[in-house]
Amino acid sequence: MTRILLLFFLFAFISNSVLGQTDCENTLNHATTEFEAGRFYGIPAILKPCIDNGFSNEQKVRAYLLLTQTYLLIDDPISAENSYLQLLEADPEYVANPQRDPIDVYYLSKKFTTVPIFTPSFQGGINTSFVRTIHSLNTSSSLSQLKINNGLKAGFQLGGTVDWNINNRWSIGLGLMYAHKSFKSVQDDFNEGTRREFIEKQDWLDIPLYIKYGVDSGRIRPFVYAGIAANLLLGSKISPEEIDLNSPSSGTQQVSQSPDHIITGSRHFLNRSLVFGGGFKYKVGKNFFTFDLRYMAGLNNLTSNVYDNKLMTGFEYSSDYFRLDNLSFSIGYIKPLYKPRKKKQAGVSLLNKLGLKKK
Amino acid sequence: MKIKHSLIVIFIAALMFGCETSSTLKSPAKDYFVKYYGGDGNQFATDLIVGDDGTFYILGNSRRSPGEVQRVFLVHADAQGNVIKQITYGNVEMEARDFQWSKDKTMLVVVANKNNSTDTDILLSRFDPSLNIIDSLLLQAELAPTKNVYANALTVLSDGGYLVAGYTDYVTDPTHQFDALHLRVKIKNGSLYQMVSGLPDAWKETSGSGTFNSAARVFELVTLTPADTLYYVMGTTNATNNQTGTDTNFWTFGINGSNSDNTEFESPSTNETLTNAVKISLGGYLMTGVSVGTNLNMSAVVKTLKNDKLSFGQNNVPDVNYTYQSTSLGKPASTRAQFATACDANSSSGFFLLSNTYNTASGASDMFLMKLDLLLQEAWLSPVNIGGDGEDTAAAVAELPDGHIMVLGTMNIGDKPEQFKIALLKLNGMGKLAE
Repeated sequence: MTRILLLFFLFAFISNSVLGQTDCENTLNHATTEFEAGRFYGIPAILKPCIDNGFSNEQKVRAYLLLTQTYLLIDDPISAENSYLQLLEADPEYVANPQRDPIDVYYLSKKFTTVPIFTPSFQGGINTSFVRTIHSLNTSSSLSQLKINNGLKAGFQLGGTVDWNINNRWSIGLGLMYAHKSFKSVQDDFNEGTRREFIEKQDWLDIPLYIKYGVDSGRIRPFVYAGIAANLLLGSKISPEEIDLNSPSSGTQQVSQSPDHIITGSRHFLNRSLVFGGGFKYKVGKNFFTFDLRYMAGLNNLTSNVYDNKLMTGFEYSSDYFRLDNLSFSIGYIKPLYKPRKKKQAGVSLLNKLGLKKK
Repeated sequence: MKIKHSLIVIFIAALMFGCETSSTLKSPAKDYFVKYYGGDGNQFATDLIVGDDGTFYILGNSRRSPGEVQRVFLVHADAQGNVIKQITYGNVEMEARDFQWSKDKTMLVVVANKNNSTDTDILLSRFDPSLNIIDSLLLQAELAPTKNVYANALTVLSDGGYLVAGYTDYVTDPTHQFDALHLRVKIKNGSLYQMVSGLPDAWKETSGSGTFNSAARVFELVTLTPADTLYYVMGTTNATNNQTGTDTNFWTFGINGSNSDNTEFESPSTNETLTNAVKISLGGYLMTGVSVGTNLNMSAVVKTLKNDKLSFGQNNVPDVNYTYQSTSLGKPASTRAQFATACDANSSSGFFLLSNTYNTASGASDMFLMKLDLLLQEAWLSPVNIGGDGEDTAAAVAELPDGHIMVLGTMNIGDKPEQFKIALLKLNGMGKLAE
């Protein structure tokens, strides 16, 4: 019985909604007919009930467009601007088109913008890091017998950015990302007959600042950006492992492993990098999913202390002078904070401030 | 306009950041480093020579696996400690003891050549600067019955010959367990030749009036008359004023056939062992050794002789002594050699003392480095400890012309210390691995 009642109420709600929209569609058609017949003055009154309650968002857009045209024709520019502003509230991404819209509406649209002042986004993803050796520093004295390879390890990042939109296409972004980065160094010492592997795991707070250019229309909107970043190294630790290829006797192997050893004190805390990236935004409703590929090129040496006593004596480890580059891929979500508004008249405020504007 | 300004700001910021590259960032390897030497097995450090060209020569021992004999390990490394050439040699159990450059730019290496457990001789070898062997001579004492002879140090003489200081044991003579040994070698017809006691050489090979006498180092005092040239021997003896005593002390004496200065640095109730001695650039000698007292803790002892004429406390001018006593020094197990060495600092600013600390409970040891001023007062607030969890032991210390300190030692490496490797450390003037 309860299920039947629920189904009944659901059916009634949907029917009412559909019927309401159908009625308002008729109202909108009626208003359009009146407009085409040149009977402009009654149109606002015809549309008002449905604008107040009944239009779908799409119908609101058509209704406000019709009202804008109407007010322009009856020479009521203030109401026309208000109506166009209401249109933009309903569809912040509405762009007047001279081929589709009346030319006076098109010109009116030029007075407005819906570009968000700030666009926050949240993103997360995976990354990998590339060691760029500046000076190779190792405890081996037989360099010809030593082969060093730096390997890739996966990390992850999580954070957000805020874009300050200069205009539809250009913006300045400031981010705050926590990133866990990792990389490894494999040393084959043929003189000693050992293989040593050092996996370094680092926790970072990356603060990128960049300028971004993006396409502002379409379902898929590519973007590129470039800038700089401050990179704060919060913590670093090393997992060392050594395989002695001839111990305890020739032909047998002995593996030595040690728990993670903290070497934060051997790394610089404040670091810097260049940031390059690009990707695209995928529009879903009024919001976007982002797919972002970013490369951060480390600018400075990370090593403050070459030798850590425990690692130096335990695993013959010394740290190179190196920069760290990072390649990341993030998926994010953007909810644009649209703000339909009239554009400021360039120079007026400055003239006002200087008292030079003619009254 | 905003875009243009933003681009300019970011571009300027990027320029200000700059990029650190190998050309803009100096490699620290020129200022400090740690380098390990040796391949498979264990390698132990013995001595270090800093070449005039800034390169290093390292002498040590290498045993590749427990079943193999220990061989001599000789390394020539560049100024950053990277190997230019390294060799090993020896077909029987060997123990490298000392090496020196001769005036004709050949390298002399003196080694304990252990034929078996009761027959040890001294092997003296000559190498060219590229470490190619020139020749070798097995040195034996003439004394009968056959004795073991051990080398401690090698001295290059002004006549082109050499003096090997050490000791010989007397397994059948309870009144002379050990006698100081000073074997003399000269170049005869281009080859090494050992001088003997009989004519035409008439060279005395041993000295000592106690039951324990050992020579650690010999110095040559050249005079205008070659026949009067004196050789000062520094070592350890348990004799007291030429009488058998009960404890060991630092000992000096001169030999040339007619002169027989013989004096002891007496320190009652403690056993001193001289492990190294150097001539001081300002005159006199710096003697370094260890002292073990009744509490069985070790002390590092440094003593300067103020005059070139050997005599402790002569002319009522007190010699200067320094003893570093600390419970942290501990005492090594009886099977472990106690060691201390020191070198003359540049610009006559003092001396560097290198010794070991021992943790009796764990068996671990570290090296410790201390700077002393000319009056043997501590110039640093505290010693610098060098080492990890295992048995890390000192071998040699030297100061470079630019004030950096070179330390050679043996480090016990591994997560659970297992292997021994020769370690060469370049430190700053304060003994730190830093610029």
